[in-house]
Order: sequence, then C-alpha cells, then structure tokens
Amino acid sequence: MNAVKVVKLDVLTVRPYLTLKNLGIFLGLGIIYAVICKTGFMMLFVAETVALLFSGYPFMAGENAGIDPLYRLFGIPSKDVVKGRYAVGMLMSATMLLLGALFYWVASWIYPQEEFAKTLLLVGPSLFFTISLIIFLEYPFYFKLGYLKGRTMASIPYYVVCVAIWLGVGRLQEIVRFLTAHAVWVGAALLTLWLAVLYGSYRLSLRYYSGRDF
Amino acid sequence: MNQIEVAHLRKRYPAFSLEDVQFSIPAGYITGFIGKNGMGKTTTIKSILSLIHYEGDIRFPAGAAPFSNQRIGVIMDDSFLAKDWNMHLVNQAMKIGYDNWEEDTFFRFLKRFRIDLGLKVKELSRGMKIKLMLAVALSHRAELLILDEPTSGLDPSMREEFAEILLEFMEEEGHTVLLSTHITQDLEAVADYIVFIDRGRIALSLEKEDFIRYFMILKGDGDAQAKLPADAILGRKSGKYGVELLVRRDALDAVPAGLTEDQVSLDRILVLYGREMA
Repeated sequence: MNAVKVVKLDVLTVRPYLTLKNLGIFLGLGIIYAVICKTGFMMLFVAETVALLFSGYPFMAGENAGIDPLYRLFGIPSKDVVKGRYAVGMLMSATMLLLGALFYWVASWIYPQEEFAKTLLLVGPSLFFTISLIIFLEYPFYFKLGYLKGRTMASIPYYVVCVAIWLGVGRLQEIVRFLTAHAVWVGAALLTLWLAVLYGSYRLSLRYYSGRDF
Repeated sequence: MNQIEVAHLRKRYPAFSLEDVQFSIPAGYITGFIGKNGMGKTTTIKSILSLIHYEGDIRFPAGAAPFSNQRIGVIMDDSFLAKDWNMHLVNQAMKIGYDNWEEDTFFRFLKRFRIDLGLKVKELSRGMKIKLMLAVALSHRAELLILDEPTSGLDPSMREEFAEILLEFMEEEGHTVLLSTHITQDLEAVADYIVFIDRGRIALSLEKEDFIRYFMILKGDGDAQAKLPADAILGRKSGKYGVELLVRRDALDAVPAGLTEDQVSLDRILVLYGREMA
C-alpha cells in the first residue's frame, strides 16, 4: 500500500513537467526522425528515450525539494520507496511505449509499413526490455548518490547498451537467424536476465537508500 | 506520561557529535528546545523523526502504539515540498501521504495565511513557506508538533499569530509541542518546559520557571569573579566597564559584595552559557 503511495507521489512530483510543451517536443522529435528515416517506427524509439529521461525525474525533483525526507515524514519505509520508484520507472516506460505505438500507428498511414502489427509486437517489447534494463542499471546510482552526482555514473549503462547495439549491428542477420531458431530459449534467457538484473538492482538500491540520512 | 523519551542518543559526524543525549518531552505541554547554532538541536530532531540513523533509543510512550510519523506535524528549515507544486498539488500530495488529511482545514489555514492557491512552492517567501508548512502540520490530526526554527522567517505580528495557533493546538487534550527556536521571547510566552542542549549534550532540562530560576546573572567589575566559587560560574562576558557572569543559583548563599544581580532571561542564558569558559 505504501509503495502505491510512492507511485502516486512520484507521478505528482513529475506532473508539473508533463506539459503540452514537452509533449509537443516529443512529437516534434518523433516527426523529424520519422521523416528523415521515412518510417513511423522511430516514434517508438523517441517515446522510450523520453521515458528513460523521465524515469530520473523523481530523483531530480526529490533532490531539489527534499521529497525523500517527506516520504519518511509520511512514515513510508525505505523498501516501499524503492519498490514504488521501480514501479514508476516501469509505468513510465510502458505508458510512453503505448503513446509511441499510437503515434507509430498514425504515422503508418503516411509511411505505410509492411507487417505493422508484427513489427510493433517485436520491437515494442524489445524496446521495453532494453529501456527497463537501463533503468535497472541506473537506479542504484541514483539511490546511492542522488540525482546530480549519480547522473554521470547512471549514463554508463546507456553507453554500454549503445556499444552492445553497435557491435551487434554488423552481425545483425546472424543474430536474427540465431534468435528465430532458438526463440523459446532466447526468450526464457532474456526473461531470466531481466528478472536477475531487476532483483540485483532492487537489492542494491534498497541497501543504498536504507543507509541514507536526510 | 511522556510523549517522547530519548535515551543514550548518539550521532557522530566528522566535525560534530551528539553524545549520550537524554531527555523526555511530557505529553500535553509545550517544550522549548534551545541551544546555540551547531549544538545538536536539528540533529536531535532529525533523529526523533527517523530522518537520520542514530545509536540509542527513542520512544513514544503516550498514545496508541505503534507511534508513527503520521501522528507528527513537522516544520523544518526545508519545506520538503516539490518546488513546482502549487497549493492544489500540495494538497493532493498530502492527501496521498497522510492517512488523516483534512483538506478543508488545510485550505482554511491557507486562506487565513493569505496564501494564493495558484502560487508554486518556489514562488513563496521564507515566511510564506513556514506558514504553508504550519498549515500542513495542523491539517492531518497530528498529536505532536515538532517545529525546528519555525518563527525565524516571520514578522512580529505573524510570530504572535503563530503563538496563538500553538495555544489553540494545545487546547485539545494530549497534544504536545517540541519547539526549537533561537527567538527565545517566543518560548517565554508559550513554553512549559525547556530542554537546553550544548555541544551535543543536554545541559539542563526543567520546567521553564525552574529553568530560569536555576541561573543567576551577576554584574560587577573585573575582579568580581574571584569572589565566586569556580564551579558556580557557567559563562562570562567581559566588557570595557566590567563583567557579566552566568552562575548556578544553588552554588551561592548570597550575592557577594561588589556584584549586582540582573534579570535572567532565556536570551541572556543562551548568550552567556559557556562563553569565555573554554
């Protein structure tokens, strides 16, 4: 129940930033990339990048205003703050993915996409998987160091994923062949990896956050 | 019955530490928490509120157990509110956070304090922020108010209104206030008990009248100090025309010749205690 309070409070904290202007910027960026690449598919990428950006906002607002002490004044235990914040990260990622999918669908009228549904069902979860992994890797830094100090360290996972993608691009066909040949095993392995990273990240974040003084 | 009991409280920082702090806050009274800057008032308050980790024991014997921060109304130096929240968002946040939030009471206080509902927290002056925090502290059926330097940003008329609000709060049975402040005139008007902290230790904790009676202020020429037992002197301020001494009243049978007794106030005690004694 306390974790739900944290989700609501975190959403309230970032609410002043969820403006029409910011939605316009997101849409504008998506449109620019869609026009350049001649596919609405880019909407999904832009949406998840925005989700990644917003996932750090509760930490930023918390640091600026001392929201974390407020949670203690509400009597919310550290473990519920950590749980709630992970839930907020996932919620943002999922919401932006839905929004991105909606814009992708609209954009597909202008740039018709072969196998639209299949692409969406493959790319959507993959993006969610990747972005949530980055969030899991970032959060312990934020919980330990706060937003400003943790931001530099928290960008490392993002670069690691970018390098991994860059390394994989040259062997894309080989990778796709392998993935389709072992779809079930690969899916299970990725799910296991996701859960393992989530668990490790949560434990680390809880350890760091519980030890903090405000 | 005590509302708060603090025993063997320790907290170490590189440049400062609380050492074996012990005191209790009686339920149903206003207790003033005084001490100079950096003596440990805020650290003690943060420990009571579990905002920091500490060694020792802090209990809340009065009221139904378990005691939670939900039952404490707090004003601290920082407002703990997101700077971009307007008053409606503050209300929403408190509604989520506090189980017994009363939004009618909150908006009534905002009206009384003339705080525009459209203003954001970052647009409020320090005095207005204190008023906002006071409105929050009084709108969730708190039994205990913990106020850290609440009056420092307020003008005299608001300070008087603040004291009146505290007395209104105290009208309800079982309500308790721990009030830390530098502005000791405020305490003289409302406090029942005084806890005095000095260099991370509790120097004295008594009823206000007993606290003031515990001390004596003597004035005389530079040689006056020689007429007093050394262990009676708690502080001294030397000036061009003489010396002002803070002494323990129980250490003297009578005022020695050449010294005159001056009026004791919380303010003078704070100024003189420990001065030139190191």
